[in-house]
Amino acid sequence: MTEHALKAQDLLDSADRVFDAGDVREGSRLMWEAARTAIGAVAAKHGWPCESLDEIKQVIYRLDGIEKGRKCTEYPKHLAHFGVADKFREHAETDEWEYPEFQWSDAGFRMGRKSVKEYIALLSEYAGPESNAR
Amino acid sequence: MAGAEMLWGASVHVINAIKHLSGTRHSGNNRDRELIVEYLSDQYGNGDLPRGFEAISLLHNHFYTGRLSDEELSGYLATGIDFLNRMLELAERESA
Repeated sequence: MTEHALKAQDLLDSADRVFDAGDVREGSRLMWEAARTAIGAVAAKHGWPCESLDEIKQVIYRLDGIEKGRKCTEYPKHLAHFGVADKFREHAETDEWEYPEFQWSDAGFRMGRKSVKEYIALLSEYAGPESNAR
Repeated sequence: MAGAEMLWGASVHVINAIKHLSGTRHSGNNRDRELIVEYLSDQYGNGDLPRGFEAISLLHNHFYTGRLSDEELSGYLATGIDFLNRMLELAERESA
């Protein structure tokens, strides 16, 4: 496991503990940080900038471009995964929701946590030394 | 933008139909819809459903805020259409 992957896993473990303790906002921050770390690991491998939100999105588009070239996909999976991860960022950073209906319920958080974990596992295929992603 | 909102509306109707098929009343709020999508995702082992639901939620949000870029809009539309098709298939299975 790479250093980034270990850090992402640590963040996920911390997020689980924090969510179990009922702190949704801090748990969301940790989930977003875990996803950002895992995306950053792939970006670092390719030498892509990945600091700002815009740069992170560019990495996501590039990964979907690679995925498209590797196999036929029905929809851009990286963007779909990213959409969920980014919702955690929004939950961590938003004090007052303009449209409260877009806040997740408990079921939304459960699905989101599962999805980010799946995404980090998927990203490890791109970040590992044996990756064929170019 | 209107097409994105129609995709949201169509998806909501399918989700509500599935809940109706299960014999429970639906309140029509997002909390209920998230519970149904979670149930279906677990029941059919389909991890794409939660991401698809988030995609159509982002499209619905975009209708009010216009926050998505063209690239995001295009990507989430493709994801949303995939989600709608999967939900239509599940509605048929649930009604069989």
